[in-house]
Amino acid sequence: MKKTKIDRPIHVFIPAYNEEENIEEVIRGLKHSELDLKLYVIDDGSTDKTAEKASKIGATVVKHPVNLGGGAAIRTAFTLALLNGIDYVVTVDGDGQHDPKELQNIVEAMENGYDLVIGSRFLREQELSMPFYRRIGIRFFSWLMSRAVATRITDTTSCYRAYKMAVIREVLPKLRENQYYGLEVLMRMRQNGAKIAEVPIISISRGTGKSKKGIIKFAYNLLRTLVGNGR
Amino acid sequence: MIRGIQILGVLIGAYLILQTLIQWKKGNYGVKKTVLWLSLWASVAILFAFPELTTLALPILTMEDAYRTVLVVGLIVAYVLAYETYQQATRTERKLAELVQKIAIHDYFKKARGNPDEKDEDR
Repeated sequence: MKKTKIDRPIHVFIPAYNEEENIEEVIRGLKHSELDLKLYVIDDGSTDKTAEKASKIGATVVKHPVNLGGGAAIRTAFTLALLNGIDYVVTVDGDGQHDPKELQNIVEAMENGYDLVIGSRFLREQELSMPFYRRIGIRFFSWLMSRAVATRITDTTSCYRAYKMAVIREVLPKLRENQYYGLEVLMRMRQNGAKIAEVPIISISRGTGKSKKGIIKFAYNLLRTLVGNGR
Repeated sequence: MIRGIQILGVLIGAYLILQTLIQWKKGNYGVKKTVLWLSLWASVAILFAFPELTTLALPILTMEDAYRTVLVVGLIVAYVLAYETYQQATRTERKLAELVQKIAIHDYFKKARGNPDEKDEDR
């Protein structure tokens, strides 16, 4: 992939729920980027100080009055981006699992004309900071999803992504999932002819706190997405 | 002779009819919904009171005995109701999500009005 010089602001959305222990670190890390970043935290009804901490450190905070789930948070991000006429957005988890240094690669892929760029933890040899069953599960679901969207995807659960808003404008009214939105957005974008690319990212364990993701719920969601989003 | 289960069934049916009427009086149910629920609970009460009525349906359903028929039909109705409840819950969840998102975006633009760097929402 050729190197591209990016001299305009990149809009980064960080969905977060009760991430007061990680959010400052995530924002600080992103601020070290050489890119001109505009940071937004979509606080999904946190009951802790996530919003206050994010706002204090300079991010724009959009707060859900109650907790809905990551999917709803990402829809809020998309709506906001469309209202503000943003060309494309990058999403980064608020739990510190995404290395801000990888942002450059994701943005470069977008600048090269892709509609959806996914940061994949499985494209490079590395020690993965997740339980074995989860790794196998993600691999299996990714294989299943790849068949459904007829494009090779190695990491369907990664939320380190960039989305072209022109395609999101078409699919946003059809998005329904409040929790595991990644699969649904992927399927809907593909159905709209989106060009999808994956770039390798480093897998790092979350800062502190517990993951809110469960493999059983995820499997159920996958089946629901495959059944519900078919043509 | 009337069996204990029949009395229980009739009482439950009567209780549910009463609950439906209360919901209708409170304005929670419209006429259509009230009629639907009243018909269902009245059928339950009548079938418990006169179980021999189910024998009329046995040839149509190709079932052999009345109690089994009641059980199977009851299960089917329960599945339908469970699905209807799921649909309703999904619709409510969707509406709630839309509302919450609207509030969040409205608050964001309200705050941003003081900041000239932020574009205002078209209203």
